[in-house]
Amino acid sequence: MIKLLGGNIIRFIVLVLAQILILNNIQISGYIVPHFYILFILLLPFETPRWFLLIVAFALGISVDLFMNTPGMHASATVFMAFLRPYVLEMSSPRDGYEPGTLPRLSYYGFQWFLRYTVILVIAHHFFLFYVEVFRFAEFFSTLLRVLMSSLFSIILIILSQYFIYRK
Amino acid sequence: MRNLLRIIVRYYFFFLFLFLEVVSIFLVVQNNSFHRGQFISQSRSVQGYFFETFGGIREYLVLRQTNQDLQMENTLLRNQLDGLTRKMESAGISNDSVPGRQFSYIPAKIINASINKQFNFLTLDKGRHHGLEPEMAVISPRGVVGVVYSVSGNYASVIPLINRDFRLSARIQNTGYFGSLSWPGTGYDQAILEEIPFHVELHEGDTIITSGYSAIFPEGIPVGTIKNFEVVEGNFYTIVVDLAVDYKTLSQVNIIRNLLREEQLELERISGND
Repeated sequence: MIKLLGGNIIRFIVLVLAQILILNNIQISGYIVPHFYILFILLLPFETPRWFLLIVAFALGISVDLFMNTPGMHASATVFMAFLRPYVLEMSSPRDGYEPGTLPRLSYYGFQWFLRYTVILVIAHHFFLFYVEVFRFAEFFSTLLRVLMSSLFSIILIILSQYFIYRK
Repeated sequence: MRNLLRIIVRYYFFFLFLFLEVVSIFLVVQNNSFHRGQFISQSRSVQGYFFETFGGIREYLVLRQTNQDLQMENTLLRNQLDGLTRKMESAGISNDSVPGRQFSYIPAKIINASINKQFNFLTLDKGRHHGLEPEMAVISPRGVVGVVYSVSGNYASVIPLINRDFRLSARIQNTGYFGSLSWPGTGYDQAILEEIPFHVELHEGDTIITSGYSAIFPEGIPVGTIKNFEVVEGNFYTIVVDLAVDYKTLSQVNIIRNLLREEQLELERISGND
């Protein structure tokens, strides 16, 4: 338990730092900004209480916001994503549920499961984030394009991280 | 209450989500001038539309009063015109060209008005597209209304006499002494005229008009009549003025554009006479 907690705290810090120090400086053609830090919410244990999920997501979003001078913007998107997470997990659960002691990772439930889980939540997050950022629906399709392109890159990064960092 | 609590506890996940979202969006709007601008401009256009629709109803309600005022003004103008034509004829000037016109008038309608605050404002249905600019005079057939404060494309807001920030140079018609008119914030039908020396002979009912000393208002537009006066302290009167304009029924106004204003201000600036 303590190990789990410690691991998560370190992951929180590392992901926020990676996002603000490295990824925010990568901008490909103005359309693509990968948001890798949301991996943290994806990887939280199955048993995480729902309220804790929301609070932690808010904290994560606000931490990123503080460094990007966009108060509330990332927080609103991460909270939205955390809100959807239990439902997505429920929807995509294996026939006999999630085994105790496992974590929502590629190494436990396979590529297909993890891809599906990641795609839904990442697109939800990016969708919310980019529309809050422009704050209007006038440029709906150009924003949608940005959402999809950035989501693609975030998803690739997240999947790759599973192969390189979280090998069993 | 108990049931409400039970619902909140049962769906706490959803309510917590909602709460955190509201906090986030609040932060977004609060701290970001772009979002704030978006928010305000969105709500402005909604406001403008709403007031325009609502102003139509108000206009209908005060139709009788407006008609009377316009008729009165018509009669007055006709009389003046007649007199002037005759004068010009006798002086041998043909009246097909009017030389040196100083003021031009733009008609407008009030679509929103507050009269019960300390800092009241009026909203007009004309704006920059119709030639309005800040610091133009606004009058009605009855007299002085106020000064244009800010303009957007299609709307303008006006500081009326009944705003505590408003100051007007006004003159007593029959003696020619002038003072400063301001509004004490007490009622929408009265204002205070100060700085008239105590030796001037005053009568209740004397007419107060604009002095023409500012570059905004032309001379001689009615402001109101003296209701009562007293010397409180020092050498000056404090005069209570019944305003000529009834802000409660006001609907049609004219904006005065002073075509020679720039020239006057420029001259005053050069000679250091403010």
